[in-house]
Amino acid sequence: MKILVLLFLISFSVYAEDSELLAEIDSLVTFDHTDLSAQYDISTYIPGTGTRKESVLMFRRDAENKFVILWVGPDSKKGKGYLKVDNSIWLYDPKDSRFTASNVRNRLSDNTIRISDLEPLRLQNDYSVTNTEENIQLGAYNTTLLSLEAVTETDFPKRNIWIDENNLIRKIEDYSLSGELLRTAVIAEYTALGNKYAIKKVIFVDHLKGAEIDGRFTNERTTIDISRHSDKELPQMIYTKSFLERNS
Amino acid sequence: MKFIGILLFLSMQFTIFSTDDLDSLLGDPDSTVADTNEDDSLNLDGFLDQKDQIDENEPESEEAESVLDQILEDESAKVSIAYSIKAGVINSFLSSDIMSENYFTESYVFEPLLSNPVYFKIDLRPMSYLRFYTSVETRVDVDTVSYVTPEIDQLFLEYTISDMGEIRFGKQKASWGKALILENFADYASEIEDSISARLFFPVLNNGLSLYLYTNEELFHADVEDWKKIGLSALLDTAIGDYNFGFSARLERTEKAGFTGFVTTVLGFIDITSELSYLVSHESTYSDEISWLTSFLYEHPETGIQLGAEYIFNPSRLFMNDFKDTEFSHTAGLFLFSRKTRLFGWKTAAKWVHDFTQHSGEVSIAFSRGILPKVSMDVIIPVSYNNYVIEYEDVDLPGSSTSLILLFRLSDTFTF
Repeated sequence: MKILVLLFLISFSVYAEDSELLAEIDSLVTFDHTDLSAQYDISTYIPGTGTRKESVLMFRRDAENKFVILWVGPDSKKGKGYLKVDNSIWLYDPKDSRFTASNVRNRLSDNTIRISDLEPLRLQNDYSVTNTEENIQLGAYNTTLLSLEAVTETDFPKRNIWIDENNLIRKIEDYSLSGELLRTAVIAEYTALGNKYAIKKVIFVDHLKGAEIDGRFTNERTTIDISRHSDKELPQMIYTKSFLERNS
Repeated sequence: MKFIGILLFLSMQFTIFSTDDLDSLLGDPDSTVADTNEDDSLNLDGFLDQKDQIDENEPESEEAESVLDQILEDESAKVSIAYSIKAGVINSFLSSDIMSENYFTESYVFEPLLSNPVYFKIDLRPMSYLRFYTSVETRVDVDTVSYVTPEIDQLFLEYTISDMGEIRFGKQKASWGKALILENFADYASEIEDSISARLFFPVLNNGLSLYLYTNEELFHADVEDWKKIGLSALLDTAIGDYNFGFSARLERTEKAGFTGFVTTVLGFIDITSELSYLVSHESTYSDEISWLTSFLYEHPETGIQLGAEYIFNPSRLFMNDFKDTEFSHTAGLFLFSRKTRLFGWKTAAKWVHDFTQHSGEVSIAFSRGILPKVSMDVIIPVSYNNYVIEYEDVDLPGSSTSLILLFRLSDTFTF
């Protein structure tokens, strides 16, 4: 009996430790007391087709679980926008001056970027740690690899994340429920805003999309350069449908 | 239905790789990119070869604030000209049951199609809180080869009161309601387009409340007695958790008063919407009306293919005096739309609409693709049955017919 209690206490302590670590990872990139705004320049290389570029402005209020995305380029997409409040998304298309509401839309555009990629991390809430490996060299970083399994409904049922000495994520592998690798992301650069960190450069490789070029399979990849970060408090009017209409 | 199923199946075949193909191509996940691409830049771990020099004390630079500045504080003036020339033909083949009634002596109807609207738009934002916008439409009259008198599409002045709200006055547009392919009965903002209106917007309850006070533009003509046609429309649209819901209302002295409630939520991978509208008549000779929309929308996450279903139940005759002949009106629609997946290079859409009361409806399929820079070609095949009339580009296609619409579109926008 004592052994069982001891085992329980040990596993509970490991669980609590893991949960605390996930909370720390989340906390570093979550702006609980301010807003976050930035410009995302998204470049998607589609093998055999070329590179498609688009730019969006993003305004985020993590404390209220809402954000706004507004396309500023290219011309064909300029003025389109998303407003997300909790799990509802309003999509605005200036061509027909009409909003459509959706709860299932999970892609930002016609690329590998999920809407959840722009939201604050919720690892502690959405995942549990199934395995930890320390001292894994990833380029110049000495990282810890955490294998995660979803405990809520998320875009990716399984994830591997590599965190550096500061508990910032440097690499993510996203898997399907069956264990198929769907996507890999590398976060090359962060910027600091107060005691929080915001991503400056991230590269995604979509393992499900690509084309054979000269006999070799080349994956579709998306690079996001994020600039003009600000943690300045934004007006409430930003997080409304009216804001999207006004700036379409 | 079989046809739609085949289309969906074919579209997915062109875009989804089989797992076997991927496994052989990708190999070990960690080395995938490096192994399969010669370009060193595709080695993702290579991006981490040098440590990120995070500036821990990055000052709040001017640049750091400029995203918001670009939106709210920059003075700007934009003038743009947009044109869209559409030219094509409608060729309708009548079904034999219509021909037998001698409505038409020919077995087909041929209609040329030409539209060439040109929009001149001015968007002035002299101060962060002030905006003037106008959009004027004109077109070339092909018969006289001259421009027709320009019409004001929109013309308004907008004032933002910091975080409190927004006022917009003038001729403006808005579209409410949830129906996508069936009658959008809850669009209480549709009359605003033909009127002079004042809009107030307040950011409340996770999104906002819009109030429109509008009047028929004829109010300003001294000899018009229709001055009572003043209306008020309001829309509250908000979201909590998995639910997007809201209410709208329209109050007018000469039209039925309307009240609508709607909710959208998600079940698995499907958006489900329910919208109920109640129109109350001022006069006893007219009956009240109820319309209830239920709709489902599924979007495939990889291909972007949307599959939707809508159903409208209208038990309005419940309120009619002669209750004996009560017939409920039912209309249903299905649609398939490929947002990004192409079928042999063509964007594809299909819809089926059926009126259960009249036993009539239409099945339409449309293909579109770019053929030259700025030029696209549309092929649309609408099939109507039991005298269901389809309107396309202000042309009423004959009921019970199969039409072939061939359309070329040239469009562009110049911004100064």
